[in-house]
Amino acid sequence: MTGATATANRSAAKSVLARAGTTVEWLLGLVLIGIVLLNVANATGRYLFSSAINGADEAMVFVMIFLVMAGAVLAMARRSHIGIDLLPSWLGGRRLTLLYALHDLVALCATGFAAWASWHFVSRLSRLGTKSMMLGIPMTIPHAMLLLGFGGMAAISLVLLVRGLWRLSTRSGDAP
Amino acid sequence: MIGALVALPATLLFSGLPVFIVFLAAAAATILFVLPTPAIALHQVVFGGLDNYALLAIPFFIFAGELMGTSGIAGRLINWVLALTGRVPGSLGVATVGASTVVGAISGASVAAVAALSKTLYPRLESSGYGRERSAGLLASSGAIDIVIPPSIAMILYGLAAEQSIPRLFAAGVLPGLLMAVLMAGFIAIVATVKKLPRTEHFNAALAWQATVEALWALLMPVMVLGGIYLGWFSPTEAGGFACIYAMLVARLVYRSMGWAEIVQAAARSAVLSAQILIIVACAGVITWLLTTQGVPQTIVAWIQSLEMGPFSFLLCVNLVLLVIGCVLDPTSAILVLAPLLVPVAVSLGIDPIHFGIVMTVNLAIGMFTPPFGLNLFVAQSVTGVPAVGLYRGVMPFVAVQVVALLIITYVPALSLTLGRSL
Repeated sequence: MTGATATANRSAAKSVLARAGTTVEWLLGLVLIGIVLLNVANATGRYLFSSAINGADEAMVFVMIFLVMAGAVLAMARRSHIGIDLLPSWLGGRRLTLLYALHDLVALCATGFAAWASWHFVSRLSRLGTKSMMLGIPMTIPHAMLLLGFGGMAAISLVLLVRGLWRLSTRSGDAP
Repeated sequence: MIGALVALPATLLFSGLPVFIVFLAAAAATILFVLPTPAIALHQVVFGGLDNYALLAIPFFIFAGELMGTSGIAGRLINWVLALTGRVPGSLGVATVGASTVVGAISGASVAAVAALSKTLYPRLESSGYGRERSAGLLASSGAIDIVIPPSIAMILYGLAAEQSIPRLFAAGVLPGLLMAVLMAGFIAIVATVKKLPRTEHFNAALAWQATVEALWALLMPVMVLGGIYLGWFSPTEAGGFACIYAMLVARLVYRSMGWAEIVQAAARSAVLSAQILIIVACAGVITWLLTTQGVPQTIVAWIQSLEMGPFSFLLCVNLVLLVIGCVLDPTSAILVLAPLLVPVAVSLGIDPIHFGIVMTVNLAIGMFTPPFGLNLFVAQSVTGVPAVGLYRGVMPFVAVQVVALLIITYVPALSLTLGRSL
């Protein structure tokens, strides 16, 4: 593969990832609007017609958990999570790449541990067959969102770490 | 354990690692190496932190605020305040504070308000002789009022962390928020008189009426949201939902300033921002749980009691500590970690937890524009282009004014408790 082909492949991959990110973001936006509509319909029904939507509160909370975990994975990929970014804003070039690699390593360990803990919990819950109080859905579904979220964040941290180490091994080592 | 729960997080935090990863790493290190706790407890606490209906108010109010800013509803409110201010000394500066206060009544976050106000008002302030540094400083500091004026995301989080009534906290924030605004406006009027800054045009009843008509739908929103909560029609979470629907309908059907695609885009931005805040909420719960199971709050209560510290000196110490912490840590993280530790001490000294919540919120609101790390400073800097050092100079007089407001709010509990008692 020539250098030009490799560069073209890399930019095509970046474009696909950016489009995937935008699609997920739009999906989350639609999900948020859905929760808002359900909330208002539920409140209106309760106050005006003395009849709430059965399990609406539970459904809204479970969907919010999905929204939080999916949004957190997206923010992880974009390095846009809330933090004190003074040190990263001071550093540049190889030093910044090194700092990000350290961040990715800590994030990989922390989210990997959380995913492992979630896996154990969800496995145990699955054996017990617990169901939610109002909707009667298996509780493994909402709990698995944490497993998927932390697992997704661990996977992204790993990709970012490998990419950072690869950059450090090259001559420039510039941060993305 | 102190190393795992204090030294490790502090080091990681200042390295720029995301706050929720810092909490998660500290909890993982404690569970793995310090405390014999099963790892699944971490999952249970994180899930329990999110499995809370009241938390839905956060994405709802963020979405409502985003719709306000994007649709021009906030802009109409700003024009309305400008039309009403007239020819008082420092009228444009006073109008900036007034606009921030009104926008605060529809938005739960400070950063969005600073961005919206800076875009609209900075060019006018600068061309009216306020100077680049003072204009940027005024805009960055005015945004802090939004956190204290309800609805407030910081108060929702405090209510959840300290198990206090959110409607009472909202009611308690009204008078302190207005006090902050009045002191800011008074200070600007004095500066304008001393510096002989030009005044805006005379009050024009026709223009004021026109601005009121144009902003009528926008003005009804805080009335509906806050009125609905205080009259007991709906909970803060439901109020947030109604605020979103109202803003969507006004933006799409009345002002016709947003298409459906733009509304979904605003929802998408709000969803990601909400996820960034709520993942901190979930992971901060693990730290709080570890501290609580180790009896740290009780140890702090016993230690404070052994110092024979009264409420007066305790509140002074809390103010000093929170002002420093507020400069480096965002209000979300600070409230979630510190409220469970400090509220038991405050209650043991006879301080009302609602009043204490307002004191915490005001402290962290000041931290939002205190150099060097206040988040509002970064927003104001990016919109106005004023260099950091100049912005620091511009903002410092307003820090001093807000600290005076903080001391009044701290030592006059009636300011926070009078309105809340009626609920």
